[in-house]
Amino acid sequence: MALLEVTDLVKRFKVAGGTIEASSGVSFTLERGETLALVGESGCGKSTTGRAVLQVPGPDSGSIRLRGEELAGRPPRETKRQRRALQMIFQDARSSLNPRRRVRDLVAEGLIIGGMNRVDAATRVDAMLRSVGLEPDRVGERRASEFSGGQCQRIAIARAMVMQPEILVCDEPVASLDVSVQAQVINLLEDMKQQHGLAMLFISHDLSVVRTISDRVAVMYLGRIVEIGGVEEVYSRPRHPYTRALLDSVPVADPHQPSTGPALAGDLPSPMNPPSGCRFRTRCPMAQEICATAVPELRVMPEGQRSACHFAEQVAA
Amino acid sequence: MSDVLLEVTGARCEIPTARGDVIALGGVDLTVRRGEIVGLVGESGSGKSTLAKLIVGAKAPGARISGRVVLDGEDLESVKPETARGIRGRRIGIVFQDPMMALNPVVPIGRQITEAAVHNRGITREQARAEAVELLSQVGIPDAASRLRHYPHQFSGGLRQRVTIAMALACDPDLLIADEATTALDVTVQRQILDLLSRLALERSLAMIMVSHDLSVIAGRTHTTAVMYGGIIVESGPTAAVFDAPQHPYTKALLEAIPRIDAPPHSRLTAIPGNPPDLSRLGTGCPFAARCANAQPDCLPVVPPVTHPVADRTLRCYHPVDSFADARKAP
Repeated sequence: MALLEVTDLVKRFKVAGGTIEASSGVSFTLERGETLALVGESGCGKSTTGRAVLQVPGPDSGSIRLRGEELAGRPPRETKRQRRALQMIFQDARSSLNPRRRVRDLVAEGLIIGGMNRVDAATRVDAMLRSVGLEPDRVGERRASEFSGGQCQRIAIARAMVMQPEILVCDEPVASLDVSVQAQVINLLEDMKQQHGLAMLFISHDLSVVRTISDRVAVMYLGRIVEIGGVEEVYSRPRHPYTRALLDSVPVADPHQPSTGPALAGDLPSPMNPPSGCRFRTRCPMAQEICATAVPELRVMPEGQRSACHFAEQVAA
Repeated sequence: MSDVLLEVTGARCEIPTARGDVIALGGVDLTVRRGEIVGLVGESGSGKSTLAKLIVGAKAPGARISGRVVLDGEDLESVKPETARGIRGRRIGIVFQDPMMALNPVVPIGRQITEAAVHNRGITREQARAEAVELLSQVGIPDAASRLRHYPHQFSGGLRQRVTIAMALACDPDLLIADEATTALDVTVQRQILDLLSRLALERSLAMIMVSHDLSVIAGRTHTTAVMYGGIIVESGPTAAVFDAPQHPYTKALLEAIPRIDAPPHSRLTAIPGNPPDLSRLGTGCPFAARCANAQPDCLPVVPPVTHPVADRTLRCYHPVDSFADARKAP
């Protein structure tokens, strides 16, 4: 039994002029100690999917099972205990922390709400601050507003990890950090995973970061997973034309290796009115008639990953 | 006609704030040749955008600016401000990170593109309009003639950035500054815009300054790279040389800190300890010293002067990468 099993997750939002199905039938599993990345461009539904898993807000339909126990569609009170095993950190750590509260109080908040007495909580908090690389006696009584973005992300990680979660959902946790600080936070997340046997759902638009931190990757486009599998397989032999185009678009910090392959034409279609059949077909260099009529299902590929493309076998190596 | 298009010397920028003076630029020299693409790379607060703005004559309120900006032999500080503004308007174009900040949301894009050309070059509205249609097709906006009437909100993020590029080119400048022009875009659209900028530079023999926090964007698309940290250029040179053999410990550390798409999963990144400096509390000496693996006591009294370790490279460091390697090899 997988630690987390998400099946046919659908989340719609009402917007001016219609409805957007941000997450449109997404299924995946997450095993203990594993990092699964949800990767894609803006509007692909990666954040919506990640948040739906934590019920903030919950999905419109579909199933979310934690250790086999259903979380979706149940009142928040009933799932309070289970949901504690799921914690989350955000892109903008500074705005996810109350700037006027002290670091020790911020990190202890979840424990206190959970009913722990202040003395026990304080011990746990100081130990956790140390393990994220902050000296409790130096930072504990200072307020969140006094810290830089990278330091705030450490505090946010401590605040999530002190709850001893089994799954940490990370929504673009390093996207707004400078490169030199980004590396510190990535290394810290890897340490947390090692030390606590943590599973991570890692939401990111950055394919290089995803490659570094993940075991498996799910590539999303307009609310659907188009390809999912081991990082090695997907990166070395993509089996979806969108994955191929994404990988070809990533600039590499090597002056001798200019971008390869043709650039993807056009822009993302309106998510309010997604293309019929395969949602990628309007920008796909390989699109045929069948792509407009039949929705491609995820199929197992020779390398082991699954791809939702009618012509997955013909995607350029 | 000299080969040098732009020469910035001794550029300083101090911005008074409640917490003391922020030294956004601490004495910077930069040369751009005709047709050359220069990458200006650094983390937040390194001064790269301040330098770009200083070149186009924009400054924060109350900022104290000094230094010389010479464009095509003309010293822009020694002529009358109106004259300097005219020269800049005609010969320098700039594209910013957020096209919605550069575009007026309630004015059709056609008028926004033609405005500067009419003002600076004295051409008629009709002429400017015809040129705008041509420019929009050049930057890859389909059905350009009918889109002139459209407002910025009717375009996607990628198309909006194409519109601001057309705006920047409307006066047929010699120098285009792209200040984080692709940072807010998705990776597939970023690729389109970077391809467009490279093509335009080549076709129009434009010189270009690409300002970015992203070494990967700079690597494949520039002739020259200048690395900024704490308000100074710590190292510059031909892009391939800087990336292949960085001399400044900061450049080396920055290159090692980037997650690589070709590295095996869970490769440990080499992080740089600490945080980028607070520009209002810069001490004396090298701004990177506090985080530098090579730092020695002599780094602190005075900012390292500009040296030329080899032709066409500059370096501001007392203990560069090579010397450190040699020192470690010694018994």
